[in-house]
Amino acid sequence: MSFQKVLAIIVVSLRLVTLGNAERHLRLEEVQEDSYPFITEILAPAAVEMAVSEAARLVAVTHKGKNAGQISIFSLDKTGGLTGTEPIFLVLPKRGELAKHANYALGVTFHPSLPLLYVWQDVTLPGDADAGTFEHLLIFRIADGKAELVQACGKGSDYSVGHKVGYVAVDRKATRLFFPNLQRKSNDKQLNGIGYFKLGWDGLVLAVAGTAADDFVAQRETEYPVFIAPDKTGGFVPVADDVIIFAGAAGPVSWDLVEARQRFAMYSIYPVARKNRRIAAHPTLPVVYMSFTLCEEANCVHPIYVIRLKHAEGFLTSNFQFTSVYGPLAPPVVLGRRQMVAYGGKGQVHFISIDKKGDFLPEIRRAKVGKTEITALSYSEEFDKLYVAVEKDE
Amino acid sequence: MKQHRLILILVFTLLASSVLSGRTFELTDENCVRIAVIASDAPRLSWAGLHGRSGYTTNVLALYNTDSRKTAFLIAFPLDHIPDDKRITSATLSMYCVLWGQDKPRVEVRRIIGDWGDGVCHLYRRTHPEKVKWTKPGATGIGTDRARRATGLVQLSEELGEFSLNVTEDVELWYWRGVPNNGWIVTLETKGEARFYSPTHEPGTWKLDVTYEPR
Repeated sequence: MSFQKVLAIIVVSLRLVTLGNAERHLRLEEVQEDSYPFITEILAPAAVEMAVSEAARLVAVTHKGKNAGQISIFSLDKTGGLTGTEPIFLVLPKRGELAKHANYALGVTFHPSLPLLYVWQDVTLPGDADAGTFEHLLIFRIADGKAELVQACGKGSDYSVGHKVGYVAVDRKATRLFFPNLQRKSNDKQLNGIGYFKLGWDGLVLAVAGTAADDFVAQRETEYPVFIAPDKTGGFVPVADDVIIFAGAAGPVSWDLVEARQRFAMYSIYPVARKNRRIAAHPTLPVVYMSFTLCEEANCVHPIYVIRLKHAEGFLTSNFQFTSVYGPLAPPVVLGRRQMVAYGGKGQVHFISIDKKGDFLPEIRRAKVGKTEITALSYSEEFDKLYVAVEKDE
Repeated sequence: MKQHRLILILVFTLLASSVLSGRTFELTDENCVRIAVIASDAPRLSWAGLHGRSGYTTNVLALYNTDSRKTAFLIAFPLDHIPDDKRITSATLSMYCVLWGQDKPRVEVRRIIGDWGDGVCHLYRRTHPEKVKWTKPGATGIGTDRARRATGLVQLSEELGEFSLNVTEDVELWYWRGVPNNGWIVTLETKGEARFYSPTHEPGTWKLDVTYEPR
C-alpha cells in the first residue's frame, strides 16, 4: 500500500471520529432515474406561472413577452391528462381610463372548489400617470370552453404598479384572497404592504355594505409590515385558518390574522435571504419550503438556496434545514405523494427527495424536459401529475 | 522514506492518544433540532426573537425580563455522539452577548424537565401532533417544567462577547443517569434586556463543549 493511500485512510479515519459541527448545508447526491411518467408537458411558450384546479380540471398558464396580456387555460380529463382540445386563450380585458396601456398577468390561482380563476394583473404606465383606476384583481368563471369576467376590483392609489412579481392565494376555506403590491408613505419612507379580500360563498369579493355595483368597494384588510421588500413578495401559503405564511424579506413570515400581539413573526435565516424569495407548502405535512437567490438576473449562476422549515398551525417552529440547486427563479413545487420538491431548470426539472416528515434527503434527480428554462410548473396531488410548461413540442 | 515513517508514527500517536485518553467535541446550535424563543406577549410563537416595529424577528435573540414581556430561550443539544461507557469530565455552555440594557442582567440557565418540541411556545411545550401545556405558562413551573435548582448564573459584564457556564453536572445527569435530555431554558434572572447572536441568523454561536474519557 502506498504512503499516499495510508495517509488518506488515516485522514478519513480522523474525519470519521471528529464529532460535532456538522455542516448545515445538505449536499445532494445525483440519483439516476430514466423515467418520470408523472410529468405532463404543456405547450405554452414564454410561460411564467401556472395554477392547477383539480375541482374544475383546468390548468392556467401566464406568459411574458408579446403574450403577457394573455392567459392560456387547458382542460384536463378525469385522470388529469390533457384533453387535447384547443386551450382557451384568455386575453385580459383593457378597461377604463388606462385601456391604452399594456396590462399583464402577475399571479393566478383557482378557487379550491368552484370554476373561478383569480388573476392579479399589473400595468406599464409612464411615470406621471395616475394608476388609481386600474383594477388589479380580475375574476373569471371558466365554463363550456369560455372564460367570462365576473368581477373586477382592487383599485386605488395604494396599489403600486409596474411589478415583475406578484402572487395571489386563496385560503383553505375560500374566505380570503391574499394579494401583494400595496404601498404607503410613512414619514417620507415607503412601506410595502399586503392584504386580503374577503370572499363570499360564491367565491366573489364581498362589497362594503351599501356600495353600488358600479362603484364597487371591496371588503379587505391590509398590513404594512417592514418585513416586505419592494417587489419581492414571493407568495403566500395559507397553511392554517387564521395564520398564513408568506415569503418575507429575510425569511418566511407568519401572519396571525387574529391575535394582534403576535401579528407578524419573521424567521430571519442565514445565509441571509437576498432576492427572488419564493415559498411553497407541503400539501399534508406542517412544513414549508422557501427559496432565494443571491442575484436578480434570470441567468443567475449562483445557486438557489432552499430551506425547509416546520410550522405548527402556521407558527414557524424548530430549526431549519437547507440545501441548494441551480435553476431559474420559479417557486418550489411540492410533490407530496412522491416525497419530492421540484424546481425548474434549463431543459430539466430537479427533484429533491424528502422523507415522510418533509425533511430533505441527500438525493437529487433530474428529468429532461424541453430545452429552455422551465419556470412554470404545478403539481396535482389528486391526479399525481406534475404539469410543466414547455416552449414547443420536442 | 524516513520522513514518511515519522509522519505516520506521529499521526498514529495523535489518533491513538485521542481515542484512548478521551476527547473533546463541540456541538453548536446548528446541531440542534429543538430550539426556540418563547415570550409572554406572543403566546403561540416558537420564535419570538426580537420585538420590533412590525413584530418579531429572529435576526437577534433578545431576552427580556420586564413587566410587559418575559422571554426564554430553549435549546436541547443532542448528546448521542458520546460513545457508551465514558465519563464526562467537563461540559461548557457558551453564548455570545451583543448588547444588554442599562442594568447588567444576570442570565440564568436551568434544565428543562418537560419534553418539548414542535410548536413549543409560551402556552404549550408542544402543539404537534397534539397540544400539551406547560404546567405553568412560559415553562415557569419549578420542579415540573424546569429544574428546582439553577444550573448556574452568568453575570454579563462590561465586555460584550462570549460568556460560558459549567454545565458538566447536567450533561453527566443526562448521559449517565438516564435523565431525559430536554435541554436548557435560558432566561434573565434580573430585570432588563440582553441580546445574543441568533441561532437562525448567526448560527454556531450557542455552543456546548464536552470532554469525556474512558470510565
